[in-house]
Amino acid sequence: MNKQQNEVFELSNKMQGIALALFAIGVIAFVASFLHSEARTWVSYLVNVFYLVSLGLAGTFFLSLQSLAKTGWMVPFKRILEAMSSFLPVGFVLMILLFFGIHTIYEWSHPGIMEHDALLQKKAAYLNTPFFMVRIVILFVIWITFSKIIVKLSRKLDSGTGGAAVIVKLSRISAIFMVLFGLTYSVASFDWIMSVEPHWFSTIFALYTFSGLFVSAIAFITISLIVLQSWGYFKGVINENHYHDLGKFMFGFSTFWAYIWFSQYLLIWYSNIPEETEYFLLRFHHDWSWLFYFNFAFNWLVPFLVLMPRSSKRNKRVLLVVSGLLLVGHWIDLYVMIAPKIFAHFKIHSVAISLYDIPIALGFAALFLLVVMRALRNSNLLPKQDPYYQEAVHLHQ
Amino acid sequence: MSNNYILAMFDDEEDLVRAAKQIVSHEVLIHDIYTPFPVHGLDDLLLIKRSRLPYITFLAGLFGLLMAIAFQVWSSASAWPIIVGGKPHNSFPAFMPVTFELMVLFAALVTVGMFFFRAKLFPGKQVDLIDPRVTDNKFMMVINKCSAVTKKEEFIQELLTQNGASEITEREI
Repeated sequence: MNKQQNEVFELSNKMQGIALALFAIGVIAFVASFLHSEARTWVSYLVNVFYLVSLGLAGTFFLSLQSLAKTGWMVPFKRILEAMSSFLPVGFVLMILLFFGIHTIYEWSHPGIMEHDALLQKKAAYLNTPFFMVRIVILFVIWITFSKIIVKLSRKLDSGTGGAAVIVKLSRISAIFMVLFGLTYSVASFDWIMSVEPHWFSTIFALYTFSGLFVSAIAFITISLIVLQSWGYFKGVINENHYHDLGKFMFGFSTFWAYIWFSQYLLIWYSNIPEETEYFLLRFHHDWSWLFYFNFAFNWLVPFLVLMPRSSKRNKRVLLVVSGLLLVGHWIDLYVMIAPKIFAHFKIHSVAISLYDIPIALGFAALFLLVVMRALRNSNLLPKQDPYYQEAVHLHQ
Repeated sequence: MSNNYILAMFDDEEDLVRAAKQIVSHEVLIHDIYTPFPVHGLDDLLLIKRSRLPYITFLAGLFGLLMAIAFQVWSSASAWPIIVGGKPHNSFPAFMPVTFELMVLFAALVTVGMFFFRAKLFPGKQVDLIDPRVTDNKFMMVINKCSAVTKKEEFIQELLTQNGASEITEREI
C-alpha cells in the first residue's frame, strides 16, 4: 500500500500555498519595481520569461531526444519532462504580455529611431512590432502543438495500448520536432534577445542560448529528482547511476556552453568589426566586467573542476550544489546578455542585480513550479509500461 | 598439489553472475573471469579497484596544455614576433584553439600508450588465452585453490555445478 502511494505524486495544499505566496510576493515586487524603474523591470521580466520558456521547451526537447536516441536511463523521470512541457501555454501568455514593454526593451520598435539609421532600415522588414508579435504566435503554436502531441504519445506508451506503432509514431514526430526546434529556438533567441542590440549580430548566438537551455534543464531535472527522492518518491528506481549520467551531462554541457561562449568571443575578437565588437566592449567596461567574467567562472570553471571526479558525479549533495549554481548562473548569463544595452540606453549606472530582481525571479520560479507540480500530481510517477523502463531501472555502469 | 586453479565454464552470463555471487558469499576469492563481452556487476564481485588511468589522462592533458601555451608564447612573441591582424604578439584568444587541441591530443595519446604499457600489450603480442572459447560464446571463471583454504575443493565444485557450470577442469598455471 505504501509503495502504491509513492508512485503517485501528491501536491499538498501547503506546497501550493507556499508557491502561491511566493508568486504573490513576486507580483508585488514586480509592481514595486515597475514604479521604481520601468527599464529594470522589463529586463527582469524578459530574463525570467525567456529562462522559463526555455525550461518548458527543454521538457519536450528531452522527451524527443529520449525517443530518438532510444535512451533508457531517462525513462523513469519522463513524467518530470512531460510536466515541464506543460509550462509552454503559460509562457505564451507571458510572452504576449511583453508587448507592453516592447518600446522599453527593443530600440527597433520606435519608428523614429529606425528612420534615422541606415543600417537598421535594412532590417526594418524583419524587425517591426507587428511581425515580431506574429512570430511569437507562430513559435508558440508550433511548440505547444508539438509538445502536446509528444506528451500525449509518451503517455500512451505507458498505458500499454497501441503497441510498437506508438514508438514509431513518437520517434517520427520527435524527428520533425527536433528540426523545427532548432529553427524556432534560433528565431526566438534572435528575436527576443539578440535584437535588444539591433546593430549587433552573431550567427552562433542561437547555439549559445541553446547550450544554456541544455545545462539549466539538466540542472533543474537533477534538483527535482533529488528533492522528489528526499520526499520519498522514486525509491529504488533512481540510483547513483542515473545521477552519474545526469552529472556527466551537466559536466559535458557546461563545457559545451563555455566552448560556444569562447567561440563567439574568438570570432568577434579576430574580425574586429565595430558592429560586432560593441557587444563585448559594453561588457568589458561600464562596471559590467566583473559580472561578465564571473559568469564564465560560475557557469564553467567551477562545475568543470567540481564535477571532474567520478565520485562527485555520483554524490547527490555535490550535484545539488552544482545544479543550484548552474541554475543561478544561467539566469545571470541571460541577464548579462539582455541588460547592458538597455541599461546604457536608459543611463542606469548601477549594474548590480537590484533588490527587486530576486523576489521577481522567485515569483516566476514559483509560478513555474506550480504549473509543473500541478501537471505532475495525480499521475503515475513511474512509467512502468514503457518499453525502456526495465532497462532503465537496471542501469549499471 | 599440481593443479592449483579451478576453471569453470559457463554457457550463460546470468548463471555466471549468480555463481560468482554464491562463490563470493562463501568468502572464496575469484581469481578472474573471462567473458566474450562486458558483463555488468562482475567488477564489484571481483573486487576490482577503479582504474587510475584518468589521473594519467588529467596530468597528460595538463602537460599538453602548458606545452602548447609555452610553445606559442615562445614562437610568436619571442623567437619570431610578427604582427598578425593588428593583434598583440601574445594574443591568448588566438592561442586557445591550438592549446585545446594539443591538450586533447596529449591526453589521448598518453592514455592509450599508458594503457598498453600497463596491460603489457604491444603490436605482435602472442595471444595468451585461457581457453579459445571465451572469445566466442563461453564464460570462464578461474578460482585459485589457495584463496579457498577454508572451503573444501569439492564444496566449491559442487557450488559451481549447482549454479550452472557446464564444465569444470583443473589446471596448473
